[in-house]
Amino acid sequence: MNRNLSRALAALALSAAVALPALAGAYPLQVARNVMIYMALAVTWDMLLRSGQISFGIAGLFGLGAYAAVLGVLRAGMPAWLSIPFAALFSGLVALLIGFFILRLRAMYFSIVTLALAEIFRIVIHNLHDFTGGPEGVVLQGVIAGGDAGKLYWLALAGLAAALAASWWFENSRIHFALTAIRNNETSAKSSGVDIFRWLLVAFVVTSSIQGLLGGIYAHSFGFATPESVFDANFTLLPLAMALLGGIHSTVGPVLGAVLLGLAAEWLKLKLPYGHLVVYGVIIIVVILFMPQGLLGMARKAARPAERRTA
Amino acid sequence: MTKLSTEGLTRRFLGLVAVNDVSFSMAEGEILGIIGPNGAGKTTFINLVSGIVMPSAGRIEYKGKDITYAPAHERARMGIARTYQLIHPLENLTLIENVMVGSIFARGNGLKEARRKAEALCAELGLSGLDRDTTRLTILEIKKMEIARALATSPRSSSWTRSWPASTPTRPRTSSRPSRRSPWSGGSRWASWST
Repeated sequence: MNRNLSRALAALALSAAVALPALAGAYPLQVARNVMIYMALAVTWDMLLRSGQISFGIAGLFGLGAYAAVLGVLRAGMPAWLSIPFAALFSGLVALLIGFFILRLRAMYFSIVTLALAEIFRIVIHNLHDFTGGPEGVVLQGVIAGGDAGKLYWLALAGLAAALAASWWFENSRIHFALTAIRNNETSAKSSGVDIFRWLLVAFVVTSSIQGLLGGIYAHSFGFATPESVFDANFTLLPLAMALLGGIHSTVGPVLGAVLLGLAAEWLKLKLPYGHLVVYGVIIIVVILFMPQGLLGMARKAARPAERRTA
Repeated sequence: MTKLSTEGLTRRFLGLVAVNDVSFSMAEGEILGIIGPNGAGKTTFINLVSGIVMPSAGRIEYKGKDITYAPAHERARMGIARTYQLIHPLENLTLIENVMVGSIFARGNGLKEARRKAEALCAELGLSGLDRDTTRLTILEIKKMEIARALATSPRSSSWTRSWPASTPTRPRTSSRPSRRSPWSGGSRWASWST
């Protein structure tokens, strides 16, 4: 029954996502695009979290992807459509290089290094004035697809679909077993034959390249990139809050959290400018203190006593 | 024929010499035990052989290959399996999934094949209710599950460390020693006990 219910909900969500451009105007579509980008980032952050590694570097890889896409067009003369997969490739390659060193770190040390790296990427781009445009950033001649709200929506939806597909793959293949074993007990994992470093590298590179892809989509949707806009700390903090609220270690949790927080933020922005950030902070604190498993965890807990009775 | 041997195996933890100059060899099909008082270095020795701890000096050879510094997961794939004195369940996986981990990664089995093997092993060890969370298992079931996980790696040499008083202070000491039959056939194993 549970499976049927979740299938029905997934089908409903999919049809809503497909029908939206026909029904909604430019503003709701822009909001939906934003929510989808954050949702996809939340899902990728969670994918790495399933191995127990907490990354604070989402904004770094997202920003790199954004610059890779824009510079790919401006400096290498790539067509816009090609520069988006190029952004994914670029962020993935960078993740492969740095992952080789930083995935030997654990817990707080890993988190802090990812945070520092994101900042380093921003500073490097900020200072490579001739190539990256420095603090003023780079502006494209025109926005992709002529800035058509419907087409931009489909582009963001494609980015989200990539994140969801990867997350589904992580949940339904041996990667699920590898990452869960690593998160629970590295010693047990090792003696069961799990090559911990290799699986962490796979997870880090895959999630980073999707983050780069999303960065590319984001930059093309606005037609420019500046260090302040694409390396914004919000790209790290909001996905994290969304995943925590919805429920970590799943695909559904971050999606649910992103819908709730994304829409709440948009509404709050109209009521009190920047007030949404305060609300986000409060939500993070409340979730960590009182519902560490998020909304999904609470739902599961509520369903459990019934299960036990029948068993 | 010697299958597993160590030569002058030593491990120091700062000033403490936990394992001092151990030379040991085990032949195909042999069953050995290591006995000693607490702190004698039994567990460290097994940690050295299974690759959880790296030696300070000495050499480990397995099937004629030098594995002194081989990583633990490679040794698991070569056929060295182990379980732990204290329980190490993988808490976010179910009973059957815990067992599957062994054959997925050490044997490279697909998920379906791994599940089939795990079911057979669980039946062998008398485990049922395979879709339960590990939080709902008794200590004895967890112990059996971990033995099944180690067996799922299709070991050629296995070791299990057992110390019921240490790991399970409130439980009776009775435990069924896994049957000597099928899953082990052809391998060698040793066990180490404390007290």
